[in-house]
Amino acid sequence: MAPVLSACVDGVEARPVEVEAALAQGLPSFTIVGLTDRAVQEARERVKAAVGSSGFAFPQRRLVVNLAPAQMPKEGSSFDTAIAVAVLRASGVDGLDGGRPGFIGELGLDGSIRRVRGALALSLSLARAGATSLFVPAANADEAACARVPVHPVTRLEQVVKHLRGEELVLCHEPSPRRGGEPRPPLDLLDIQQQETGKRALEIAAAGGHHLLLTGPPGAGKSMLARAMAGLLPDLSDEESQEVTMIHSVGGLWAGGGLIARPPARSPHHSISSAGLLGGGTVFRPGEVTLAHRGLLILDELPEFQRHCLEALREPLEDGWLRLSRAAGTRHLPATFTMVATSNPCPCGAATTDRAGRRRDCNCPPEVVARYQRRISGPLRDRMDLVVEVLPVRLRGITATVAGAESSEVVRERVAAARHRQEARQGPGRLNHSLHARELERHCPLSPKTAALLGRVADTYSLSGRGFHAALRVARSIADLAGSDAIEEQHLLEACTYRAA
Amino acid sequence: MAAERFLCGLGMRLVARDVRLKAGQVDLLMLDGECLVVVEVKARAGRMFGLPQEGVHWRKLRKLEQLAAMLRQQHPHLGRTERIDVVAVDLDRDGRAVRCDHIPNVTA
Repeated sequence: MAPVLSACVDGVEARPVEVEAALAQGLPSFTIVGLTDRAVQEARERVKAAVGSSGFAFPQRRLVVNLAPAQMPKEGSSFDTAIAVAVLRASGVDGLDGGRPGFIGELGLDGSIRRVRGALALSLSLARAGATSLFVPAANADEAACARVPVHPVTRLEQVVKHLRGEELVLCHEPSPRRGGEPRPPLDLLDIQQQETGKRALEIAAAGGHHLLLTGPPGAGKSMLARAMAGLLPDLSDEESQEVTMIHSVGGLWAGGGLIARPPARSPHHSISSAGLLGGGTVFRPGEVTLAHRGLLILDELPEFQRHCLEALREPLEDGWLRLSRAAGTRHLPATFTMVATSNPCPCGAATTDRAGRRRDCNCPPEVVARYQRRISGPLRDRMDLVVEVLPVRLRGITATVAGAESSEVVRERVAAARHRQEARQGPGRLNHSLHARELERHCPLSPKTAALLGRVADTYSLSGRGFHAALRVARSIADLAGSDAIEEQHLLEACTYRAA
Repeated sequence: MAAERFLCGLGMRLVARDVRLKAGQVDLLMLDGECLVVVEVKARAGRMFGLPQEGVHWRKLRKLEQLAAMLRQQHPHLGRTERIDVVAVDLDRDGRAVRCDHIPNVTA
């Protein structure tokens, strides 16, 4: 008898699992083997009750269910339906083995089929494993339909049986249009008074996917700027949307129907642990860097984060991937995010110049200021492509709306146009931030004059090799925003001001 | 009694009924060829609480294994091997056996 096909969440993906059931002579018993966790063991009681409530006799013999491959640890309740089907088949219910369908779903004691975590990842892995159709909980149908395999939405176990025996068909699911993933509208740029430099930096960072550090005194509006950035990012492409939905669904954060359309914005509190940031746990859960994939990671009050958490960000900031090695094995996790961080210049926050160029009265001793700034290590600071000082707002006129201020939507359209130029030049999903040294040569040609200028800036501010390339990438984004194919002098100069701040 | 008749009908020979040892009690002791069989008879009236054989839980099986080993030691001439069988008996309302079900070698 052919095994029943199901799947199991593993990291941010899923793997196919084959379920087989065998009846043997002996006292009535029900055993599930195959490196299972508690939730799978408890499936015994759910399956037993659900089979009974669906009008079938549970076999009164020795019953063994095997989940293959045996060496892969299995967790969760997504196998319940597959186990029930395997048990019914073994107990002699006819007509259940046509085709090669995949089953996912958690059973209720009354035979109902409940939603599962990671439905998209499960469906994709089943499609790859060669499932010809999928039976998924109706609550997950929108998500599962993205796997491009016919999806039968089911709410009860007997529906599955009746469909397989051809008694009563369950129609395939028509995917509903994509829905946005933004629970509340982000802050609009119009809500933020003044701060033109900050807004410009947000626009550049959004256009090229550059990491941004905003420094300034308390109350200047750094956090507001960081939050407003989410509204500047264009909608996700189809592939990106699938990646993001898969991750959030596995993380148990996406229960809506369909795909996530807006880029995620994650803003973890600074008390976060490194497992929370990077992912981990005996049953693996993705961390904030992975949940921020294709979106924003907002780290408010950067110096307050634990040192080792910040240092762990170095590789994902640079590569867009995270290699997590643990006792159980090594995982490759997607972490292509844009980081927006805020920090005060010193513990009291006042060690900065105001608009008139005067030093505000900071009462921190110089060594305290130095120690505070050292909390953001050199390597991390070097990875911030744009460093912008956010100055205190002028209180006169703070209540009036400034004429000519732009809304997030206007800026988002410019950002989308700039990203369009980048993708046309560099390939889909490739933003300027991801350009390697060799690609920079090809896509960022400099005239002899601008090249000489960049050389002088690099010498004056003793830029690192990384800093040099970052300045070039930022200049590329500024040129893209201006709709220019070549990087002109003013683009490069503007890029250098963000670097040298 | 119904269980005893049922097993004899299957070709097994009765050795003893209701064997009481310090460690516990064996319903039927039989010989199936060269094999000493410790038989646990479980009877139930009605299916309200499941099949009769579902009442034979692991603690009882552990006890039966222990008893079988003791009996083999005390009577080495009885058979070459041993095993544990369960006979499930369905009773009607008046306590008469309606149906017997033999489940051989339950601890294998």
